[in-house]
Amino acid sequence: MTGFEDKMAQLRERFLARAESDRAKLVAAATLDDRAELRRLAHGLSGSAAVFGFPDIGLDAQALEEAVDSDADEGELRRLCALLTDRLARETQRT
Amino acid sequence: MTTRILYVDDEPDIREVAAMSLELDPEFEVRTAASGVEALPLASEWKPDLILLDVMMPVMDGPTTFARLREQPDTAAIPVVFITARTQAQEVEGFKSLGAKGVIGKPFDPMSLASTVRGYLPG
Repeated sequence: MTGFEDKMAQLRERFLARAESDRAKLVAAATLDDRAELRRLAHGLSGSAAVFGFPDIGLDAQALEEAVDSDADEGELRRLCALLTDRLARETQRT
Repeated sequence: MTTRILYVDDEPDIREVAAMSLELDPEFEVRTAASGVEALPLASEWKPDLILLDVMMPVMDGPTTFARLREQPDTAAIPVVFITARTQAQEVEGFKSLGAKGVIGKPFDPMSLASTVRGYLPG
């Protein structure tokens, strides 16, 4: 493995660890309808997930971020958040 | 000849990947900033040849940072390329009409970022 690939693998592991903790935070934020926290978490995942090989997580996170930005109702935010947290659980368990 | 690249993004993991990717080009010297607020004085002091600027950042977003760079005489002429997930034609044209040199889609490919960036450099 080259130095670049080795470092990318390390960063991917760090992303997976963070994704697991973000999943719990997303559930809590959706329960509290804490939109600022939902947006912060979704923004972080949407920017980084695809770079580490998880494009679908990135797309779900982007959808949630855009829903917060467009002031979607609480039900829609919870639906999109559930899609994202389910995806996070599936993708991070698969690896 | 060294080419100085300043990469500005609020996501620490992405900053790290971007710096590593850009440094695959041996002529690139890379520094990063975590926000527009951090980038402005760094750009003034370090005088990068190109700035890669994330669009969506808290406190000071990319377009606001870009406007401030243009207001500072010592950074006004530095070419800026926006980094954004929003790459629909209308949005890309909007960024270019602000005076940006170009737009790179996010997520970017870590293996080809350096060559993409080189395409925005003169000659």
